Amino acid sequence: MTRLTRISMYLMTLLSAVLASAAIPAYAETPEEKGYAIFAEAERRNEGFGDNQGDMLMILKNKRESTSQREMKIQALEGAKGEGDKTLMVFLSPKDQKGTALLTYQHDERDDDQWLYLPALKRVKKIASSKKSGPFMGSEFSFEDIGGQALEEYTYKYLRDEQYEGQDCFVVESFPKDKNSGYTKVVTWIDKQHYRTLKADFFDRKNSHLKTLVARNFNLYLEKFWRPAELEMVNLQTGRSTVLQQNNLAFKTGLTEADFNKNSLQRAK
Amino acid sequence: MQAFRLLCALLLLAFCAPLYAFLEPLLDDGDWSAETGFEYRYFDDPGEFGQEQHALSLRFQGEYVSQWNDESDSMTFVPFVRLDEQDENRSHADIRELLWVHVGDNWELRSGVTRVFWGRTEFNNVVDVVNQTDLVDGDEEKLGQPMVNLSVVGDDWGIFDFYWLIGFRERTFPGPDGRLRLPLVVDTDNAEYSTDTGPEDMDFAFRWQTTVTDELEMALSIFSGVDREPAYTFNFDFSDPMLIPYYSHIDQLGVELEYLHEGWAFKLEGITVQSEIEDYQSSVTGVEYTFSGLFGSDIDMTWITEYLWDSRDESAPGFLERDLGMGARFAFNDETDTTFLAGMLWDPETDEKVASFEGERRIFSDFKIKVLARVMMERGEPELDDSTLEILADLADSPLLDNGLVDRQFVIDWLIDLIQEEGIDIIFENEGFVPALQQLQRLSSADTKLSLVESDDYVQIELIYFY
Repeated sequence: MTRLTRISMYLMTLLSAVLASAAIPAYAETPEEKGYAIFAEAERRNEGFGDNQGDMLMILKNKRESTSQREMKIQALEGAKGEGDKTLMVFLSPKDQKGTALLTYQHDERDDDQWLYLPALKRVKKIASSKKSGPFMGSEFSFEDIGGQALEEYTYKYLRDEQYEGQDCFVVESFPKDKNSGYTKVVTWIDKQHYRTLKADFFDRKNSHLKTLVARNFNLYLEKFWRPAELEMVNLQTGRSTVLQQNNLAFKTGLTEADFNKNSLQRAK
Repeated sequence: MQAFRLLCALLLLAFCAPLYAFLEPLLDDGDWSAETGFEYRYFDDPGEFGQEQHALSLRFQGEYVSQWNDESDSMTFVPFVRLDEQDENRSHADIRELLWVHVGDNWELRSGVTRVFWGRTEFNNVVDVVNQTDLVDGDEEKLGQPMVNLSVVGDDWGIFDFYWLIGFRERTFPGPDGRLRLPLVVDTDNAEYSTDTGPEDMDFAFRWQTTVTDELEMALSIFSGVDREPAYTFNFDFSDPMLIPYYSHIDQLGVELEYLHEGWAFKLEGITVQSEIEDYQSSVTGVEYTFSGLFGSDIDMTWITEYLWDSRDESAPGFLERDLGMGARFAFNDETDTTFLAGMLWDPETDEKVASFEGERRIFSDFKIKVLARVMMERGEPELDDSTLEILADLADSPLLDNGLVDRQFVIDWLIDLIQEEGIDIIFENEGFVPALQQLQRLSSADTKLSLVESDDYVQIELIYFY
């Protein structure tokens, strides 16, 4: 799994919810089984979102101030059974990138398919899937961060229970299976009530703490789906950070498969 | 006169009012955006024909987009203007796009003027024939083409595009004061057409693109219409020698393949063409490899190697008949979207080489700077003859006469007239017509194509502002 558009997935998939059932079974589990079960539950709670669309603002910062912004429009369609989600992301700014659009077909068991449309050249380019650890649009988010995580692409290990900002959380380590990942592990704080990712620490290939992600200002949609209005990724090694703000998010907007092909990629505005 | 003007104004109004009412939804809540480019070119040498070493140029391109019917209809208008300090032909305007798109369930109808890209490879796109090249603006720029394009999405079958191309647009060429031109200026006002073609030609095209496996994409295309690439004839006017573009009909079948695996990409474009002049095949075959995160940085580097081939060999138009293209693209993946592309084309048979460098970077948030440099590293020396007769004998074997565009009988008659007027000595002299004929000989010499632009190494810097 890789890259770009799953920005939306990060906002939309990762942080799921529902009051529904399914507490983690109390009988003897290994930490690995328990870690997996927590992420599986988080994924289950996000099923049935159908489609959604919204605007996104990305703010790049150095230690002191913001240095540039990007605006995007994002549409997402939940995959049918056995298929991954589809997303279409269009850039509105920086102005020289206006109309540049990215279409992603997520797949659970293999690399995603991605096509980039370059409006100046009228050209659709298929993107190779080997650069997931690289930065997305010059931000502190890498392609794989934006992509979010598919359940089966990691192995898990439950560490402990812990309070984070007043909420009871599970703390779980996950280890990417893909050798192209930029990380050796990710430590995630997931709240016990809604199974939302509140915080994550990313460790680089030298196993030192590289980045921290924090999710804030959760809103509830369709009485079922929790989404953060803001994500902040801080790079501890460079001091740079990136804030992602989600606006005007709407669910069940009537998007169909026809909104996610190469033709819709080219006419995205 | 007054009355006439009044009548005109009234007529204009009469037509405008309903027109405006019809257009009102389009004009009401659209979005304008625009860019202006300020370009400076510096040539390392003065032009071979006395052209200037410096040139300033200003470019404007607007874009108006309006959507209605819940975004199932849209109108796009993209006007383009360039003003060039030196070359009157490069100062030009074009409607790049004036397009109405109607989106149905699994189809789109695109009507109006637009630009369409076909292809996969980097150094050349042999399959890409829908639009005419706007050569004065750059070898990758295109003129808007009027058309009706029905695009049908067949789910697992891919996308089927049917094009009805309304009218033909002639290629633009630099004028006498322009750089990067051929030794003889192309007479764009007097283009000639074969009997089967003409500027009002209705052409047809079709393309089917599909995903074969997860890693393999394919497209097949058909084109039947006026060849976008003209052949040339000579005007035989030695007081004002010029090349005449000659457009003829072609039927083209094209294939595109692209296979991606890990960091590798294998690409192929191929065409087989039946033209009124000759039948030929041409292809570009390429391999790319991308190093992600070069030396632990955020930089991606892509190595590109392509082989360009044309069955017409020496008589193929352009430089790309048996060349090896090599390049490296650097994407810095930084806040300014900085990219560099360094490349070289090499003809192994004649050893001619041309190298180029392209780079771009955003500055502040609304500006962008682009740099382009091109150097002819190695070029063949054309063998030029010194007398009219020798040159004519050489030209008789060249593609210019060989493919029948210039009638041999016409040349013989011209020569006989010449001898009758000037005496037999004229054809052995190295004055008079010889300089113009030598330029023709240069043009027809296949081994030394780069010598045509021998003094045209240049650097071009463009600063673009986005509104």
